[in-house]
Amino acid sequence: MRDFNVNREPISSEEISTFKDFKSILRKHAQTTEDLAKIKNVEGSSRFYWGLGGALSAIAIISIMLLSNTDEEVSDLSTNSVLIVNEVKEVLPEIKWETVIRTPKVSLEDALKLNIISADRVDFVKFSSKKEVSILLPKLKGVDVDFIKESLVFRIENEESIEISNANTLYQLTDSNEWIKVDYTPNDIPFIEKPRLLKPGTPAIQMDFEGFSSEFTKFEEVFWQPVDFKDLDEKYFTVQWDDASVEKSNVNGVYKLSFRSGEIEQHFNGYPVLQKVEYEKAIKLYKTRLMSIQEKLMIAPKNYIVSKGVFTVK
Amino acid sequence: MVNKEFHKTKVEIEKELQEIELAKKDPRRFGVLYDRYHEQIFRYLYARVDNKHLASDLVSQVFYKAMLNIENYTFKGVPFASWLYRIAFNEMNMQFRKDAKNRTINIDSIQIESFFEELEEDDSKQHEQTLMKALSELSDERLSLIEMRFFEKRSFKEIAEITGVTENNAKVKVYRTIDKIKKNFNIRA
Repeated sequence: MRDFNVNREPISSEEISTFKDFKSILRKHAQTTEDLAKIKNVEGSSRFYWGLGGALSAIAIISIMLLSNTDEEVSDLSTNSVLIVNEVKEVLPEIKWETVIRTPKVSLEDALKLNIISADRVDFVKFSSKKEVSILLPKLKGVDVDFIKESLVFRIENEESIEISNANTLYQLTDSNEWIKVDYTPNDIPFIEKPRLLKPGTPAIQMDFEGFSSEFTKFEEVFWQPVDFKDLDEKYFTVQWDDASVEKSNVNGVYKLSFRSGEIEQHFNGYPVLQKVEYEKAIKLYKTRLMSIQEKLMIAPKNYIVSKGVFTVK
Repeated sequence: MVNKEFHKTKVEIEKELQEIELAKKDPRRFGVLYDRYHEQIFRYLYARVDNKHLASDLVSQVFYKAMLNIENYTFKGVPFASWLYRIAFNEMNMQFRKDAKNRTINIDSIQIESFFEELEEDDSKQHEQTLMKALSELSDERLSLIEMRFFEKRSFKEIAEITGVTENNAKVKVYRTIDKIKKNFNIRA
């Protein structure tokens, strides 16, 4: 007796869509295709060796038959046989993915020659010939085989972060079976405030703010100019201000200046400017600091965020 | 009577054939077909099993097999959808051979009513029980024919494509099955 469901609550399209997983089917398909390719390779080579074995047997029989003939002829034939035997000894290299699992004693970083990898389990293989590459990654062709013929290749299953030395580059195998460079996450460059020159004839307010520390406070005669000159009305120059303060705004290098006198309170966004002599000192210092940061960046490790795939470092 | 959901225009079929050719060259392109037919195939299988997860596993297996064999698919009058249903039909039968208890018949009141019209019987409670019993005693093959023809409103042509028989043969089998079910009412009346 079969089960009957009468007037079962229909399943919604939304719920059905939660069961969709094309990627896993694609993965399974890729794995099967790879396995089939391997089987075909083995079958092909088996046929070759069976044929070769048959030919060898035939030659051996003919050799025995001819042993009764002249010594000279025997000598020639035995040389041929030795050559063929050497060929038979050639076997397909065994190559397969190995899995390395992170433990207190096993470092994935050491195994994969990386600075840091967030994964706890990675499959890898160290190729030593083109033949090994074509067995394990049969879809790779030409230069993409050469590219990894003597390289360590690893595959990861989830999104991971990887850090490698600056001298190296991470490559990923694409779906079209080509190796491409992976974009690394740019390193954060610390902000260095670039000095600005007080242009003659432009309005500026000279102020020393107590307790305020900036790269420019060490210079003499620091002036302040608004980002927009329209903000600088004549009150700033006519009112006797009781109090003034400065604080960093949300934008690097721009400050919020506040002025108070009794009930009057005014603000503008501006930046510090220096007169020519002080400016030249400041710009020299700025260039030195910039160069130092660039040198550090040039040797800083590269960081990557990668998702599932096959990778190699060059 | 035929369910329009399962029908395609000539233009749609031609467009789909182009998509199939692309999928043969690049398995990732199969995604378009997967997106198009996932829900249909899911509903087809879920109507026959009483478990969403089992239905989902079977659907995955159907599309995996379709991807593996898409190279062999050439349009000879059998639409791609029917080809997928045929894989689903075979997968389902394989599943029931392994575990028959999963076979479920999903039916709603409207389908029961219209099926009684086909049987030329009234839809009394007593007859409903007789119908359930008769359906549960059918072979898997015959039950599938009834489900496709009367519950899912598929054309004989499509039933033939899915089950791999001729259209005429599908018709004969369906009406022989109807006769067999009718006999239950005559005996039990």
